[in-house]
Amino acid sequence: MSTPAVRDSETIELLGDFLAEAAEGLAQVEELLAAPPTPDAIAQMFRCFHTLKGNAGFLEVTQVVALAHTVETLLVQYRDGAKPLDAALLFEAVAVHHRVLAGVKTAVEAQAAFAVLPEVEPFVARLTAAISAEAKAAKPEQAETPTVAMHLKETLRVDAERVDTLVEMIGELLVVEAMVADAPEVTAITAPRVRHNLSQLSKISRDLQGLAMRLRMVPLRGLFQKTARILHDLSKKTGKAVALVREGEDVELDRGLVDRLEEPLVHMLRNALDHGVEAAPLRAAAGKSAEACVTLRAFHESGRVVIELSDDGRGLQRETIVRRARERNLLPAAAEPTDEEVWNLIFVPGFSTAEQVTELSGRGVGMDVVLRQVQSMQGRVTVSSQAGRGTTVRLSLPLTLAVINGMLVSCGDERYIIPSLCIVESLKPTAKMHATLAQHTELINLRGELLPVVRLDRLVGTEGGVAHGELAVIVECHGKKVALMVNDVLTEQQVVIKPLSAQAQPADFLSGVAILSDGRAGLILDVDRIVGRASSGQSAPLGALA
Amino acid sequence: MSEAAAGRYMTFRLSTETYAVEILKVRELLGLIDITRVPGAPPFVRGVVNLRGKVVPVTDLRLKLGIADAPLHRHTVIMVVHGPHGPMGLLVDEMLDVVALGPEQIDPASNVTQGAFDASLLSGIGRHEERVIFLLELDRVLAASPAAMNVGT
Repeated sequence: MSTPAVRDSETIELLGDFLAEAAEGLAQVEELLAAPPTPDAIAQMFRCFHTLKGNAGFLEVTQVVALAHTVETLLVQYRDGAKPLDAALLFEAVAVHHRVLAGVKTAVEAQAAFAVLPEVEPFVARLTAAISAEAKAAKPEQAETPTVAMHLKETLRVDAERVDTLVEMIGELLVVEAMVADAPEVTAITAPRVRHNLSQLSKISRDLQGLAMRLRMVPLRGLFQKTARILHDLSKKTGKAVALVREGEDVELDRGLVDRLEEPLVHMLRNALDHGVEAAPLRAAAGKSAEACVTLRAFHESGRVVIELSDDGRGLQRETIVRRARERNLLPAAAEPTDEEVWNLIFVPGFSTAEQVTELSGRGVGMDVVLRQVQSMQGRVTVSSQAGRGTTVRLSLPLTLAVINGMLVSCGDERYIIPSLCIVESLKPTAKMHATLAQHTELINLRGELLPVVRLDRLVGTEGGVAHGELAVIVECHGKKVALMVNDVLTEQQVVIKPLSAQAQPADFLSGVAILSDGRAGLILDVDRIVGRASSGQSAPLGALA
Repeated sequence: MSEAAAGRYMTFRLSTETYAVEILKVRELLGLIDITRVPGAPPFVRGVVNLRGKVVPVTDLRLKLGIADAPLHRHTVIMVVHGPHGPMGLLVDEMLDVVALGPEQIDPASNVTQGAFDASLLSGIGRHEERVIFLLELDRVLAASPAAMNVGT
């Protein structure tokens, strides 16, 4: 099957460029398909396929030429209003393109001739049939959708290694810049021109750093588009009509993490469709719309990125899960577990794949896979569910390499970073606000709200140092607040979170490390964990940790 | 235990003793820059430093080998080595010179060591111009826990 093919290095490079460009073009088409079709959008899609066809022709990838050409013809009809746009058909066309291109990539890597994908020919025939089908005299409802100017971002492909080198070099530049600016010989200079230029220099360096750090970050849009495509496939397979609502596609995450999210998301989608969303008659009986709604949301919370997948299906079947767990001795017969405990059972490997549970209780295949994959990214998975209302699976991911705003606080001679998103306010507590319980557990009365107190110096083990001023930084996570006592709040700065090497064996309340603007490494506090421990009544051990 | 190969070694001082690692293992030397202490870390981990945008953990080699703690001083240097999981900083008391050792100048460590020190942490013992140089088996030193290293202390 795979005849060897000899390609010179230039051709291989061109093919690499072609594949990357094709993927971008197809991603654009998918993005355009997600919105109601406008003439502009159709024209844009046409251009994407046209470019694809041209490049493929040049490189003699004949199957793509035939495919793209047929799609073009179809798009011309849509553009001219000869028939209404069939988004499903176009989605499918994109999927077929993806598969052909994957084949091309394999062939190039194996130095083999391009294989002929058998599915292409029948699909082209289907497209042709659609083209020659009688136009149903349907003018696109242009008046309904005002033309929204589509703004597609332009991108540039760069070798990832170069980006890393650039980021590192800018880090170096910043350190040297700080060293020059802070040198006693330089600080002694008072000439306004020099001072002004120095401050310009430092501002530009910081901007440069901010920019460099964002180079590795990609928006979740691509992943969400893929999700839309998979959901579309699943919807067809299961025969359940589903609409996908996407929110927060602009949230950015390190590219490495985004790639690893795909597998867990596919599992989650499959579960939502197989077990969450009811069949049409059941939905009708429950008074729900025939078309189910799956929502994929991404947002920042407490310095982490949260990705949530919710469906409006029947929710987890608590009774069945509990019964099943008792059968498998996962739960003591007498125990009356909380909802949370019940939902966590679905993560037990093999639990949900047991015969009946999948059918009856819903939800399940591979939740343990999701958990494992997300945990390997230092993420967390939580599930919430309401009977008859639906299920939400929530992935909370660390911002490894992500850029956040951090508040720099001091604690004795040390400095720590608190993600700004977690901070509600900071204040100087008066003696009246303080209360202690049994001489060690401290509370702060904040306008009638009693908050546990965590002393940063005790937490990090610098207790007993020189007494400085004292400020309470009120931090919040999952709706729970804690007063974190620090010596001072210094500045806010944009920092890049890097993982803290396991070799340093850091305490668990640290979520990462960042390079501060003076070139030193600064540790980032994991507010989620601090709040979690303090508010679950462990504030005393937490304070006494050191 | 692997035998030390003849070749070039980077020598350095810990307390009053001379140690060395293969020169190829050394990535670079840093003067004593600000080390950020990491709460929760074992005592031999001094903290982390920013190595041009990379965050590198710094281990105090004295503590790791069970030599008594001493304050940092002006000769203290962070020697950045190629560790099994990326760059690692090692705090040493003073950098000495690079020496070339021939096979005849290296004794197997097992011949000499006695007592509590774990001989497998040494790849050999070199002799160079009257000096005794302990050649460290770097990967094993980095992986070892200090408790296992020196039972005596």
